[in-house]
Amino acid sequence: MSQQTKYKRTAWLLASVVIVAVIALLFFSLPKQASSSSGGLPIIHLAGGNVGAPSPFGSISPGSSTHSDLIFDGLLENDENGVVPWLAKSWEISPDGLTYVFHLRNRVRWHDGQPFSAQDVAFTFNFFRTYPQPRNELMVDAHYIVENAEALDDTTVRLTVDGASSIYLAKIGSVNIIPRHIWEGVKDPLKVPPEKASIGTGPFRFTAFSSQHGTYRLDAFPGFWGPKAVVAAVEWIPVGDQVLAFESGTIDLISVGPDLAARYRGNPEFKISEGHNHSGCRLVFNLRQRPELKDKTIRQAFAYGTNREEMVEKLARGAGAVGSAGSIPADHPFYNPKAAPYPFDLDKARQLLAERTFTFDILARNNMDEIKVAELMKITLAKIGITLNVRSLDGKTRNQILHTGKYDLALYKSGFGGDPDYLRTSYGAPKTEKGLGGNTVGYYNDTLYHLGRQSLRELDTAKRRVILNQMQEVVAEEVPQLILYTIIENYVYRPARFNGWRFRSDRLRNTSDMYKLSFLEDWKG
Amino acid sequence: MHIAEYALTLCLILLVNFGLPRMMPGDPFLNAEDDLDQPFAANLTTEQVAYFRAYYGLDKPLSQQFIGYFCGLLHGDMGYSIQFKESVRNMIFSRLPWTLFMVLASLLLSCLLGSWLGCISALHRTGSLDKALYTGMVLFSELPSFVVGLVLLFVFSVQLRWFPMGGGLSPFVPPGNPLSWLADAVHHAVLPVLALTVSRLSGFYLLARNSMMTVLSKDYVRTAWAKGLGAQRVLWGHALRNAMLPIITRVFLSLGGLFGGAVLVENVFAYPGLGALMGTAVGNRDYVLLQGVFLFMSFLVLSMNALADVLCRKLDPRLA
Amino acid sequence: MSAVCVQSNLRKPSRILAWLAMAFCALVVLMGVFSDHLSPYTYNIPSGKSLEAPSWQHWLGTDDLGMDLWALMCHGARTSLLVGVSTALLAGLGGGLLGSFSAYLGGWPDRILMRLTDLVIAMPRTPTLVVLATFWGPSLRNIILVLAFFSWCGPARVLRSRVLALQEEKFIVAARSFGARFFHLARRHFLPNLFPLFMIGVTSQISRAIMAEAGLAFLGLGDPLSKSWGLILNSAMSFRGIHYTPFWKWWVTVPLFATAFLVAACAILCRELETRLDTKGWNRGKKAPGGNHAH
Repeated sequence: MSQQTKYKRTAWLLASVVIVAVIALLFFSLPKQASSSSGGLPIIHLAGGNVGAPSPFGSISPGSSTHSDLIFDGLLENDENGVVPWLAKSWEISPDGLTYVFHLRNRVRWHDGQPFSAQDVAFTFNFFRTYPQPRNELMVDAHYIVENAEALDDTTVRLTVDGASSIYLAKIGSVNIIPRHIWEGVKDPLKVPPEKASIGTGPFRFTAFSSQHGTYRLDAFPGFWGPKAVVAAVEWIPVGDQVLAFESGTIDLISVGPDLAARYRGNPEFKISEGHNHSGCRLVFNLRQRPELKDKTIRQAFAYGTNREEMVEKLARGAGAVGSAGSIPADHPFYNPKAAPYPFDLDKARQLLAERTFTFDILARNNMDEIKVAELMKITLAKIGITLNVRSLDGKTRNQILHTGKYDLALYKSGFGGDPDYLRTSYGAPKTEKGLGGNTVGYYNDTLYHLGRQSLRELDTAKRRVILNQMQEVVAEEVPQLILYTIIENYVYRPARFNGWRFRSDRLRNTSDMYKLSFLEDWKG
Repeated sequence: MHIAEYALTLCLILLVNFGLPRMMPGDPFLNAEDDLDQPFAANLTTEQVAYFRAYYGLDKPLSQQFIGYFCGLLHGDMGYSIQFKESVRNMIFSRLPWTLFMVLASLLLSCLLGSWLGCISALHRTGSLDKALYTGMVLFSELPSFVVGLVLLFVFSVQLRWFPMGGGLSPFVPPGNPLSWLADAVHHAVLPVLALTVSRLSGFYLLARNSMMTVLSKDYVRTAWAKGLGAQRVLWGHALRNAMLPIITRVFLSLGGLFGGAVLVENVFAYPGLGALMGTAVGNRDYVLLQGVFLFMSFLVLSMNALADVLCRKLDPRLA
Repeated sequence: MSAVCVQSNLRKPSRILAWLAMAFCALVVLMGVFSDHLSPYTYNIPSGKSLEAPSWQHWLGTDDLGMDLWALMCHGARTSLLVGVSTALLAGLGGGLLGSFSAYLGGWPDRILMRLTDLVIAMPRTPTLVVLATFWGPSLRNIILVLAFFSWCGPARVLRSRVLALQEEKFIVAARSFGARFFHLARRHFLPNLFPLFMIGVTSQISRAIMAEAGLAFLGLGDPLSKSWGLILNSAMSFRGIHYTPFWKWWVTVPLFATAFLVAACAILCRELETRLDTKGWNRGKKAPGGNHAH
């Protein structure tokens, strides 16, 4: 062996020793794993991902307010059953329904130590009029509903609204109140940094957020006015595969489909919480583009000729329900069982069509779920003489088409929880409106229009229920849109780790979801 | 001359990157009820849409928008993302090191390993070793990268618990000494880099194998052999150097497609790279962010291709 | 030394693998041609319960809609084969030819082509697809064209670099100085040297094209119900939590392995071709009659 090779050998050996040493050194200097509790209280871990800064204007989508909802408080809070007092301990609505007076709690403080007052509430409602929030809850029929907001004294605030309505209280109550001393004079709310923009009165305060890594950390706010927090902090951390992360204990809660739920069912280590079936898929008819759809019998033929049980069985994997004829799902408090359903019945569908045949384009989004819905419809409708051509397009392209109304039929997902005002916005549009989003293009029904106006303005719940029942019956008869099926979401968690999870139906997020009260002691305000 | 050529291409690319996103149907403010991951609610009024369009300067004529975009670029200002409400420059620069690190590391690994295996294969051409390697590699390359990623996650993160479940850094660790920060970053990057390496390996293997086989049949290699030089010397000293050209071209070619190629792996490991960001930007028609990301991508493509040319000339002086 | 002695196997390589590969390719082609007659079920109507495991009724099981997977695969073979092979040929051969020509010609055509590849590589993919989808609408031809458009640059650049190196080889320089024409050079020298690289370009595109076809179908460039292999795999993968259910054992593996085997078969055939072609090249390139190089 030559001298040269020897040197080479030694060099190689040295190099590998150095590399191994560096690797070892690196791994010894690794930071410690995140702790799962602090001071006896658990630290909750959830799947992260960037949904924008946890501030009123930071959220990047209307559906992602989970983080800011923990930081901010509304005047009222929604629990599983309805509104409960929150920042406001009581309220009065004038008999004409136009004035709301809220009496606020004392000794409420912002996270920066400043006292909270009625001035902040009044400011909030005026500020959001000028600068609309991403989730835009205070808009009804393209009007900002709060016409005037003023503080009567430090703990009383009076709001004047644009009309009497039974749906306004929940809307007003859900608005997150922001501090005047921070937002006053702000001209470009999108550019307020999260350290300032995320100061609220809620049970958790903003500690860390990284948009790049999709991580959030919110710590329990010791100066919170209300019930004590039962967790020390909530952390959203990045995980690739949620199921794997849950099984390894990295995160504490996941939402799973029925096939996966079976994996945890019966195992005492896990608990499964079933949500409502308040989100689903609907078929929209475009009566302006295809005037023949104005004939009610054709729309009814669609209802009879679509095998929706099959969709529940195959697409929802059994965990769902056939869309209700009156649009409001069966486990909703406003459901009317008298709205007559349409069973799958090809003979009846053929009878209604009376030998007529049609060809329609059906528009789906570029995801498998909707394409499969379209596929199943295509198969059964072919048997009654309706040919469907399925088109799938990227989300925004589809939106463009929905907005211009250049389609025959379209599928889309929507929520059926929350207030059933969606009956009005979907089917009760006035005659002139072009019809965007939830509305049925080219559809006008006099009864539904007038009932819809009444339901919006009726203050008495019992009377409103009667109106809504009537509406559901008309909708069931008219089939302005066909609700195909709704699905049930399952949440899985380890009760030994944290057992306080509470879920509520959220129309905005199209699902039932865990919310603020999960992390607070039970409390009667 | 060359500079002018590249400048012209860059201008063309700028134009394409500006125009193409705006040619796509739909805009950031047109949403439907089920667009829950969109930056704006479906029920924006016409006035509100107009307000936002004006806020982002989308109400101006296209030519004016382009001039504004171009002038901003000259000042280093890439605008504010419509969806994320963050400065596009910050967004890109904060994610760029992660993507660069992941892609460069995996490219280096897969190139070295692939070339090595390729050379072995070429030496044993028509032998059973080559046959086994070749078939194995071709089949291997068909494994989707996210499947590889999931398997890695399952084995090393869930079963063995050696590596974290995802992300680029341990969250909420206060910035301490740089060494532990680096260790943490490397610790998080191991699995994504491995997954990406595996998915790129066979491409380099095939290329190296072929390139090497061609070179091995050359006169000068056979001369070297005839001179009695050791097989190792012949292989690594003479042949490889000459077989490198297509491999180098390929390396730089993949560098150009840097952001896009890693999306699946980024998703599996929730890695904070640019690929996934680009995907959402397209889905949301976030013109400002799109322009920024595409600009970077084009710049990378151009510079990498130029670099590849230079390097090839260096390696093979006959080309100059 | 072992490195060199394997050359002695050159004359009697075992061909079993190659035959198997040939058989598989033939099978896929047959599946594509006779797709409608190979299965007792039709591909577009549910014929069983959803997600049945493979059995005598359903050889490969059923998907979530209850459609027979074998019928689906047979039907999908046609689309996938067509898309995969024609895209690969277009991109691999077309791109490769462009690259070789441009290297051979040099000067401004070469420059223009290189900048063009820069432009295409830098061109953002999804936006281009969305724009094209709105102008072109769905058709198989469009999918092939679009896929080829996006993938010809790799082969073009790799082959260009190879030709650049080749041109400086002594035998080519010599041939050129004797006034050899392009076609002569191409036939005698370039082709044998470049063929393997061409083939890499082609085979590596096949699976990419088959999988990418699904994505284009979703974006409106194709029929989302066409049931190609890419779409079958895509629908399996989009099934929630598929990895944690037993369904992946047939629903995912069948399309995945079919594609993998198809590509592997093509690659093995190419390797076989390459060996044969190269043997001739080897003999021709040598001055002395062929012999054993070992020892």
